[in-house]
Amino acid sequence: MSDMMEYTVRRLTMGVFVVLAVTALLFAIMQLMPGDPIELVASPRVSPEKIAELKRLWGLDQPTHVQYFYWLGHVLKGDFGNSITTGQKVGVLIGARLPYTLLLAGSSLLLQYIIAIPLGLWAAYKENSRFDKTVVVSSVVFWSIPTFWLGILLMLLFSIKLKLLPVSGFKGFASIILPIMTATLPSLASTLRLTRTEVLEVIKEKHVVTAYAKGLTDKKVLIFHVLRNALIPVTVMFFLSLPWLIGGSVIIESVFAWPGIGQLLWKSISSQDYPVVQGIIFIIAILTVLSNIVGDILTAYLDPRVRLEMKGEN
Amino acid sequence: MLENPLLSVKDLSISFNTNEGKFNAVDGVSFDVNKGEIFALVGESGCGKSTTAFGLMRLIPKPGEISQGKIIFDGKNLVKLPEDEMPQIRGKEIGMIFQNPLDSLNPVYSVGKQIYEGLILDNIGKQDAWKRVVDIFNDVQISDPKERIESYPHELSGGMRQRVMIAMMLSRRPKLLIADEPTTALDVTIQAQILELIKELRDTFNTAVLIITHDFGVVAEIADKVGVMYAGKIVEVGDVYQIFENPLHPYTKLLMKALPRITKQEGRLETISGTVPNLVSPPKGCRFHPRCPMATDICAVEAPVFKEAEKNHRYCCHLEVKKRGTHH
Amino acid sequence: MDIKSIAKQVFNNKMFLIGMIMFFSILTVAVFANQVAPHPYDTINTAQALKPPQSQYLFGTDQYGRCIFSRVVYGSRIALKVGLIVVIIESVIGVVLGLLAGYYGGWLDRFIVFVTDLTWSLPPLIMALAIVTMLGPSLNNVVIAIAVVSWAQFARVVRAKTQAIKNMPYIEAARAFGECDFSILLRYILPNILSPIMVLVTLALPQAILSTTSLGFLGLGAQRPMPDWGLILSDGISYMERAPWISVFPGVAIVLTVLGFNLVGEGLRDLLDPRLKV
Repeated sequence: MSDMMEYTVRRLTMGVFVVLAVTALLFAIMQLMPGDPIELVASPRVSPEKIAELKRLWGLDQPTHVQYFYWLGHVLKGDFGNSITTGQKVGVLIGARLPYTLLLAGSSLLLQYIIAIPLGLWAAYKENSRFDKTVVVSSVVFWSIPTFWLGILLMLLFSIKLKLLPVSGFKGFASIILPIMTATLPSLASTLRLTRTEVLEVIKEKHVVTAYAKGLTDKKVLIFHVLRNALIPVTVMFFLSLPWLIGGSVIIESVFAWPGIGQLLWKSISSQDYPVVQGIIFIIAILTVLSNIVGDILTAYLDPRVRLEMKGEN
Repeated sequence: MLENPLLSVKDLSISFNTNEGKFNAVDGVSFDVNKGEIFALVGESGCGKSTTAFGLMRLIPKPGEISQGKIIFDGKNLVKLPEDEMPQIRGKEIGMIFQNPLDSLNPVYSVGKQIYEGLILDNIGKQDAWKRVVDIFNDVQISDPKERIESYPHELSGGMRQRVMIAMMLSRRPKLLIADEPTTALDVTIQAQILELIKELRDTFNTAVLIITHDFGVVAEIADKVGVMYAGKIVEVGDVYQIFENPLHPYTKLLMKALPRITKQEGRLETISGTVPNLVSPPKGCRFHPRCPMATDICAVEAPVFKEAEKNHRYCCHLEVKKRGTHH
Repeated sequence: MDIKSIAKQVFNNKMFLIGMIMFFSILTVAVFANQVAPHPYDTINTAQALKPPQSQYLFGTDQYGRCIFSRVVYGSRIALKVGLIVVIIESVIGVVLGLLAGYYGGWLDRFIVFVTDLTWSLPPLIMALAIVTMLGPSLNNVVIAIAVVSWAQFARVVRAKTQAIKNMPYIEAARAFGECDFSILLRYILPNILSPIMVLVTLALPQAILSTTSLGFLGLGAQRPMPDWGLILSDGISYMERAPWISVFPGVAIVLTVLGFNLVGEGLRDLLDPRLKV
């Protein structure tokens, strides 16, 4: 397992570089944005001297790379700075919002895998049956639906016509149902399809015949040999799709007025609240890179052939 | 020989319903395998010998199915057995090993685990099962069995993998082992070792072996009895010395000539001209006649029937042969 | 494969056929929008505001009395045009970088892979959001943003395929005959990886349309009164209880367009490169 350790360390180091590079890039982009945050929030009556002083105070008069390292140094100490619009600490702002986004993304992720894996397995096992064809067609249809429209349709149906669920905002358990459905259905379609494709590929492999020849029952062969092997790419996808869900949260949260970081990001971008945008992007980049790394390491853990390739790389 | 044969295949046909049409990949095949006997099924690829083997396990790939005949194994007709009873036959009564042992082992489990998985189907404790895995590794002559059981298939050599397959399929002491081209993917020296191992295990456990091969060299090395298959049908069957000393069917003779001979330096490897016919529309009469050097007019019209040349030695050809009085 | 068996395969692939029919219908609507649409997309007629679907206004009207059907019909031009331009840009970037990385290997390869990793270190939508905000909301900037975040898929596949064939005997032979790298890449490697590229292109197009409409929905794409599907849809949200048709019909248009392309792409993959994973 020391190979695994080495691999993990290598991937983490690489990940740190990627996070640094992408935040630096976005930092630079922010600087190029039209408009100046200080002039935006300060009333026109504030004197130019006062603005210059404020800029010095915020470090905005420094060159971009100095500002970046200044910001980075504070971030490493846990200080993301203060919001320009509200003056609140960015860390506190994000901390209050992040759980809502993770709740939404996490439960949607779990839900889609709990549903997709058995259905995908069954569809592949019954290849070309009516059930299988329904799965294939409906999954293409579902991933062609934009989430914002799906959210609106669900809201129309469940909140406005049937009056079963609250329209938007966060008011207890019932208000999470529609956002979760909206986030889950399109990704469920692609996970289901992926599971089916992978199972179909494994089921045709020769070791499956060996498993039958050994005397294992259908159920055991399907679970311990077919599904077990097909789950390797499906697991990788599980971790790769977390960032997609967080990205999608910008839209879902703005449709349902869900108090997560997606909505916060969107608001902060519109009001050019740089420190908040920086902080959120930093967090999302870390989450993304981490879930990619976890996905890779898990593949290596699940697939001994990949472990061998890792040794070869060294 | 009053004892019933262990395996008696009677008039077995396996048909495939494909886009191009329905055909019998195996067409009315009959043969017997006795306890402790090594029976070789020989023929070119595509002649139905592997399909026959998979048919015995009821593991024919779709869209194939057994369309007629009986497989009497140990008194039971496997063709009539309900599907959910087959797992009690597979692995326990009949084991099967395959051509490419790398593809045939699951890449994500250690080889020990894959054998263990079969063993615990027979109500034995976990520890006993693992002990058995080590024992059976010793039986198939794998050195350092305790470490080797932890290995993954891709970490082993081809010969080693085939030993693992044999260990897996013999671990539950089946009465019959089906070996589908077990040495084709291996080096010549490893080939000999694996064949030797199969013979030794037969001697130790009195397991009957049905070996599928295209190579008369393998037959000579290991078989007691031989069945030659062509285009889904058995064309000649007999004891191994009868076949080698007195091959009667022209196809058998040609297959034997295709055997590489080390002694004859100048001898080129002979191949049989033509290919195995498309079984959707097989040739009329004798299926071999378009490729047969000795074909006469009747061969294209009428299918030949089996004739008995001597005890246990039968062939299916219009040619008449003189019966031999004795053999030496 | 002869033409007959290809035709047979095409006709057996119902999803592909249905996708093609949808694709050509949408294309026809976009090309003949002037003839199909009963009204101009921006004629304001407050007397007819918030009318439900009826014979004169097939999809109803919005708060300004504009015909939603006409707006959706004209919107197809925006969706197709933007989708097409995005795909052309991202495929050119991706294919060129993928070819270079796969063919030359070494530091160039490592650098391109690092840049690919970089674009994947943020969710594409968020990256696009940041870029459009920087450049300012407009349709052109949406095109740039989406192309910048989605070329990596092309680069990854093209790189792998190039690596797989660059040491084939016919490539070696071409090199031995003194063909320069440029000509080898263009005349020997590219034609041999054309089918996965075609599949990627047809599957990237619906993705681009989804992203464009998403950004349009956030108000970052085409500006009012342009009939961008995402924009019409988001403007309708405030009237959802009184006039749900404003938001429903542009959504239907998006789904049908994206579905049509997805079906064509899936069908093309089955025909050309069934093992390609996207």
